Amino acid sequence: MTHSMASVEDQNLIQRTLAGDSNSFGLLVQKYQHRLFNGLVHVVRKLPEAEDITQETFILAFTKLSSFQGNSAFYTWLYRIGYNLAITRIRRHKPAVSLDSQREAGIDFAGDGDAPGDRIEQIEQAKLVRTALDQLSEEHRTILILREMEEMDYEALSEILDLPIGTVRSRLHRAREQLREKMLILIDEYQ
Amino acid sequence: MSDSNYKEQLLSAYLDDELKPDERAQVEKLLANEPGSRLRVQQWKEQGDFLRSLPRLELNKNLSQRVLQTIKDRSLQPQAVLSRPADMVGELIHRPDEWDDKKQIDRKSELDVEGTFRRTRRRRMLAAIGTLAGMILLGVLINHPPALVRQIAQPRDGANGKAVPEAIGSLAMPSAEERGENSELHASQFDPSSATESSSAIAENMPGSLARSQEGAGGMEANEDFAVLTESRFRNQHPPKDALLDTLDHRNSAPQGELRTVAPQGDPLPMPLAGLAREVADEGTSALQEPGSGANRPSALERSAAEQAYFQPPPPLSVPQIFIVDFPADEHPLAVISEVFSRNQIEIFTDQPSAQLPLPISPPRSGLLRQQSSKGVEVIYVIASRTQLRNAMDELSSWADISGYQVNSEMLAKALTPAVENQPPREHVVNMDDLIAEAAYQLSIPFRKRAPAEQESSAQPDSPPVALVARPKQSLAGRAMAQQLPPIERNSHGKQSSAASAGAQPNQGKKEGASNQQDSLDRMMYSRTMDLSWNYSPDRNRAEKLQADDRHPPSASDKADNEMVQFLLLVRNQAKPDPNPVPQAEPSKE
Repeated sequence: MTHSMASVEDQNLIQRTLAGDSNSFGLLVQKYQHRLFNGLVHVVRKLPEAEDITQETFILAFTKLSSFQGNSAFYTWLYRIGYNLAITRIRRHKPAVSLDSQREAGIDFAGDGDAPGDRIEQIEQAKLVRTALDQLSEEHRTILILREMEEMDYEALSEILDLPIGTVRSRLHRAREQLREKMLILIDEYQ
Repeated sequence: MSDSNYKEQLLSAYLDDELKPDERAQVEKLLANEPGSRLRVQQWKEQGDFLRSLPRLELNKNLSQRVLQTIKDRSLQPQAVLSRPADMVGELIHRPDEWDDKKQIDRKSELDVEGTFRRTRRRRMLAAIGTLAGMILLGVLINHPPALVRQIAQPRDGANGKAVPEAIGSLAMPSAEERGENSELHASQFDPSSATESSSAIAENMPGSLARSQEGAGGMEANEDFAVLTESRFRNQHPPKDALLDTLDHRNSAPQGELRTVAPQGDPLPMPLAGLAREVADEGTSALQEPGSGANRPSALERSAAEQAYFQPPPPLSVPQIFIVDFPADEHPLAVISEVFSRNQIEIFTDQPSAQLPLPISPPRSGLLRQQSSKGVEVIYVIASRTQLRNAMDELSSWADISGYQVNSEMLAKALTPAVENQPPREHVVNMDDLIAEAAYQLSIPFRKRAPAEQESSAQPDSPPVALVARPKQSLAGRAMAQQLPPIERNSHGKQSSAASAGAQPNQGKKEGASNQQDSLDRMMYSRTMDLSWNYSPDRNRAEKLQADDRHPPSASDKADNEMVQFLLLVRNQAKPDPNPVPQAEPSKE
């Protein structure tokens, strides 16, 4: 994702929301809800919580909308709100998340959708990646998700995670390296 | 940072296309010459592809209706950035189209009656403007005497009333200019990083800054309260009664009261601050009264202690606080920290120079000081800026990963971020009470090696508590502590640490009731820290394997690691003089 100013469309919706048209905010919710949810579920790793936090994020964003200056992408601003809500909740509950608990919570990343026979290998790969990702620390997992799945650039990462660019760079490198090590171990065990 | 680490960071950034041209050229040259680097980049790229190939989750419902319904149910509105008074007046005197001069001239010949109405409306408008201007002027004169406000806002030394420098004043309170646009600031200063769950009724009912989440930003509670008082005073608004009572309850139930007991009871507030406290207390009490009960307003003596505690602005430097300051990475952290602590009259005690502390991180990266209270409670001070803590924990995670320590990688900085984000970007003041809880929980975890016998055990810790504490130099508790420090509290040269020596001077004065204060402080520290738990690495074998790897040859840092373990064991032993000591964990053999 290119980190840029908020899009004209978003700005229009925001202005209309601030002018009292709450339906415009509904459009913003529709536009970003799935993306935000997908980003947050990797942080909290529980579907119901991710859904709650997504909703709370939009509500909080609504009340603080006037403080959005448009200096960054609206989604970046939104995600930062959601990310901090998620971190707060994680910190409070200190959940011990395991793969089993994820499945209990309804998360089966690799098993979603139709899986033709020739995709079994892909599914196994996805499970492997998922497992390795789960073994990472929260900070490393988050930065990898934001970079690789959300395709955010370093500037956006810096803004969301409140880190200097240099730290983003070093942390991302460390996260990649740890994921690589975890995957190598898992592949060894798998074979 | 080692060369190889830097090189790999460049490779990683190259993959992300986030390099400067000269760095890019450097990496391309590297890739051309080193197959290993090419392989590494290729592996990262593949795992990135794997991540991107993970199925995307989508909500199975449309949240927009739910969100809008919730907004409607809670009667939420975007917190408007209020116009300046001048703009508001400008809007008032702006004439609608029908008052346009040209239109009026056109209509003049049509109806004389309309002219009469027009003149009447002008008179009413002028009267309204005059009334409004008078109210604004009156309000400014009564509530916003800029010089006095600036004076009041200036944090003062609790003991001698000496004003703290202006830069520090900004820590405790926005400047008068900032307060002049108070409402605008509060609405526009929102930083998403301050976002926390806003489910509490308090947050929903409170205006302005008080409406900011109370739960997640608990670390800012006292400062939030202060902000509310400020806002109430300058905007002539009061938090709703229920919200205030909730806050009172909340504060009463919070352990913060214990902290206040160690505050210097005998030290009077500096006069301007005391005056502000009285005025705010009066205003606040009136806000608590039912309409029409003004004649029965209770005197200050009749107010409950809880109410007075609430309406009393926390006097600067009277409760333990830590000052977290962002500063450029290339500055010497201890120098900055020392300066900040010095400016804020905070005294640091240590039994050895910081340069000799066996830190897992090289000494310039952070300050780790230790102190033993008279009750044998060992306290380790971790002093660093927010950025510093973040970076240090980051580095510590790496260090721990190869040394077999389990570091809680939910970094302290993140835990603290919600608490500090509402502060101006360069300087943060965090209430120490909540900070201790957060930081102790986070920081107490890493620094203990699991002994083999303990690996299967999940018993409660018997180790010295670790907490994050900084005390104001001028507090009675601090003076008492200074007087009662055992010899170990001073370094071998009888001097303070280099961090403290920049500005803090040892307090030699005596104070009555010091032992009581000391007891309170000890109890507070003990209660804060005894429920800490320790995490141990389940991955020791892997760590040993990694250490045996030629990528991690034994080095000076390993030696420092061992020294760190020994240091912590020493701390532990000193903190708990047990007649029947439990066998201690062996220092690392790596």
